[in-house]
Amino acid sequence: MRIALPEAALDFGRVADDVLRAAGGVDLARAAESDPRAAARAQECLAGIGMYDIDPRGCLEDAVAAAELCRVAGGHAVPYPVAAMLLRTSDATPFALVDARQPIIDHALTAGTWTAATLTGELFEAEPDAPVDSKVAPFAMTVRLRPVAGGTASVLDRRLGLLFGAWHLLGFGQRALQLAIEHTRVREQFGHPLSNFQVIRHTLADLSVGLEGLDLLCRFSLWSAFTDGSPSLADALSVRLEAQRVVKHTLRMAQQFHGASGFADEYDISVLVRHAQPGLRLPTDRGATLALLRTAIDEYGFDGPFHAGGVR
Amino acid sequence: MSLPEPGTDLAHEVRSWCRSKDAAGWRDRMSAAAPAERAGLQQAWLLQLAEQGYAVPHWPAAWGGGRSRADQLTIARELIRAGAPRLDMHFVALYHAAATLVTAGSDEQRATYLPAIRDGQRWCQGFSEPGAGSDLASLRTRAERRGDHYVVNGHKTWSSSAEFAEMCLLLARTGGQGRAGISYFLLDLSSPGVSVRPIRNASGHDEFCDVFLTDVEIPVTARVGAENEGWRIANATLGEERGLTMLERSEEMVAGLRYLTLAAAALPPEERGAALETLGAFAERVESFRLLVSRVLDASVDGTDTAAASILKLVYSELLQDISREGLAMAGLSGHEGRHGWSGTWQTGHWFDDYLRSWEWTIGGGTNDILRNVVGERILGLPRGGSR
Ligand SMILES: Cc1cc2nc3c(=O)[nH]c(=O)nc-3n(C[C@H](O)[C@H](O)[C@H](O)COP(=O)(O)OP(=O)(O)OC[C@H]3O[C@@H](n4cnc5c(N)ncnc54)[C@H](O)[C@@H]3O)c2cc1C
Repeated sequence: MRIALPEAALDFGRVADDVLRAAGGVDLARAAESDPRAAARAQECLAGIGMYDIDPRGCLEDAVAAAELCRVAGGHAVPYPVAAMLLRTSDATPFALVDARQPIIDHALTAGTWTAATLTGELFEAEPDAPVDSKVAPFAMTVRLRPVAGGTASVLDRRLGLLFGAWHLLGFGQRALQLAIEHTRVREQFGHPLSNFQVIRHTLADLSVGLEGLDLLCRFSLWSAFTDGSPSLADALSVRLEAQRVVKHTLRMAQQFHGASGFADEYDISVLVRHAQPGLRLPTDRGATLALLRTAIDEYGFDGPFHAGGVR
Repeated sequence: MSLPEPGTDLAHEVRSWCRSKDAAGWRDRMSAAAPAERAGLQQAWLLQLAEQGYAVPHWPAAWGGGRSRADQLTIARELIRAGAPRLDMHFVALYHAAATLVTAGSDEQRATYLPAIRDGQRWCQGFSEPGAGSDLASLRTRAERRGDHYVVNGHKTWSSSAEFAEMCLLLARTGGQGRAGISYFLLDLSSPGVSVRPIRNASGHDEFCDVFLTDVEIPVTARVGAENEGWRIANATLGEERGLTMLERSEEMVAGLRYLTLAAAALPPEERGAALETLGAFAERVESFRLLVSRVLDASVDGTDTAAASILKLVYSELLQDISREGLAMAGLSGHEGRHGWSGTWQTGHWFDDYLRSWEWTIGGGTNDILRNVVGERILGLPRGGSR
C-alpha cells in the first residue's frame, strides 16, 4: 500500500495552487457565472503549467499529478472541468461519467462533443442540450447521449473518473475547513474570537480528522487503481461515498461558522458551497453511489485497504 | 392545548376562497417573477387577504385581527394547503413591526403604521451589524439626540428584503455600552442619508442587504418606548419571530411532508420501503413539532416568551434541513428539475434549491448555537457561559 505522494506531484500541486491563486483564485469562479472569459482564463493557467502534458492513464506518477491538480482546482472552485479534461479521449473531447437516465454534465459548454460513460461502462457521445437552470448549479447542463456502437468504457477510466471526482471534492472540503479556521480565529463575538467557543473548536477538530481520513483513502485508492487490476469499482465508489459524506458536512459546518456571511457571495465560502454542489451530486448522489457500491460488493466482494480481512 | 377541527366552517370558507382566487397560481407567478415584480405581486396578494380578513388574524381586534388562536391556525393551514404564496417580503411588517407597535408603540405610531402595514407597506429589520451578529448588544450604530430629532450614523447588514422596504426597525446606541444603551427606532428608509445595497447570497439571489446610515435624521416621535429601553422591546419582537410565526411554519412543514410523500411515491418499488420508513420517522417529528408549537404558544399567551420560543426555532430549522436533505436524496438527479424560481423553502418544489436554502435557517434570527445557550441558561438554569 502506498499513500505517500511523490515529491514531484506535490510540487506540481503547489505550482498549480500558486498560479490559480495569482489568477484570482475563487474570484475566477465568482466571475464565471456572468463572464465566460473567466473559464478561459482558468484554462490558460492550467495549460500554462502543463495540464495537457499529463497522461493520467499512463502511469501512477501522472495519475497522482492529475489527482493533485483536481484537488487544487477544487480548492479554488476553478470554473473548468479539470478532471474531464485530464481524462479527455481526444484533444478536444472531455470525458465525463453520467447517469444515462438523467445525463447532466457540469461545465458542459466547454466542448461541443463529450465522451460520456455510465458507471456500468456504457459508452456515449454526448452533446450539451440545455442548462439545468439552477442558481446552485450555474454551469451544469443536460446532455443528449448517442451510444457508441460496441463501445465500452474501461474500468480504469471509470475508476479514475470517480477518484478524480473525489480528489476534487477533497479540495473543496480542505479549503472550506481552512476558511472556517481563518474566519473563526479573526471574527470576535462576546469579546472572544469564535474559535474560543468549544463547540466550534471541537467541530473544527472533527472536520479536520474527517478530511484527513478522506485524503488517505483518496491516495490509497489511486494507488490500487494502478496495482490491483480488479474489474470492480467497489473501492472507487466507497471513496466517492466517503467524499460525499465528509465534504458535504464540512461545507455545511464551515458555512454555519461564517454566520450570515457564509451566505454572502463576497465571502469565498459562499461561492465554494454553491460550486461544490454539482460535484457532490454528479454523476451519482449519495443514494445512487451507495446502491452501486452494494451491487459492486455483491458481484466482486470488497477488499479495501486490508486484503486479508476483506469481505468475500 | 386546542387543535382546531379540520372540517370547521372557517376551513371551508378559506378553502373555497383560495379556489376562487387561484391561490396556487399566485404562488407560481411569484416564484417565477423577478424581485421587483415579485414585490408587486406580494403586495397585491396581501391586499386580497386583507380584504377577506385573512392577512392579520393575529393582530388585536381593533386593528383588524382578533381571531382566536384556533382560527389563526385554521386560516394559516388552509392557505398553505391551497398552495397560497408565503409573504416573505411582508414578514417583518406583519409580525415584527406589528408586534413592536402593539406592545410598545405610541398611539400615534400605531395609528400611522398598522393600517399602512395592512395596506402593503413593507418593513425590514435593521438589527445586525458587521461587528454585531450573535452578540447583538455590542452594536455600534449611534443615534445622537439633537432637540426634536436624532442624528444616526452606522452600518446595518443582512437586512432581508431591505431593497424593497419602506420602513426599517432600527436598533441604535443612545447610551453607554451593552444592552442598557440601546434604543429602538422606526426609520423611514426614504430619509436622506440612507443607502441600501443588496448582497448576493449563496443561492444566487439578492436578498439581504447592507443599510448604510450617514447623518440620518429620525424624529424623536419615531422612537419606540423610552430612550435606552430598546433591548427589551427588541426581545419581544424576536420572540415573535420564534413564536407566533412558527405556527405558520409548522403547517408549512405538513405541506412539506406531502412533497416528500410525492418524492417517495415516485421511487422504484424496491427503494420505496426504505423511503417509507424515513417518511414515517419524519411524520412523527413533524407532529411532535406541531404539538410543541401549540404548547409553547398556549403557555405564553402573547406568544413572546423568547426562551421557550427558542426551542421552536431550534426544532424547526433542524427538522427542515433534515427533510430537505432527505427530499433531495429521494429525488436523486431529478432534484435538479422543476422550476428554479425564488426559494424560501418548499417554495419551488425544487429540492436542490430548497435544500441549500434550508441551511440559512440555523443562522437567521439567532443562530442555533446561541439558541442552545438560551435553552441551557434560561430554561435549564445552567450557569451563564460564553454568550454574555
Ligand atoms: C437568511 C438570513 C436573514 C437575515 N435577516 C436579517 C434581518 O432581516 N435583519 C437583521 O438585523 N439580521 C438578519 N440576519 C442576521 C442574523 O441575525 C445574524 O446572522 C445572526 O444573528 C448571527 O450573526 P452573524 O451572522 O454575525 O454570525 P456570528 O455571530 O459571527 O456567528 C458565527 C458563528 O459562530 C457561532 N457562535 C457565535 N457565538 C457563539 C457562542 N457564544 N457559542 C457558540 N457558537 C457561537 C454562531 O452560532 C455561528 O455559527 C439574517 C441572517 C440570515 C442568515
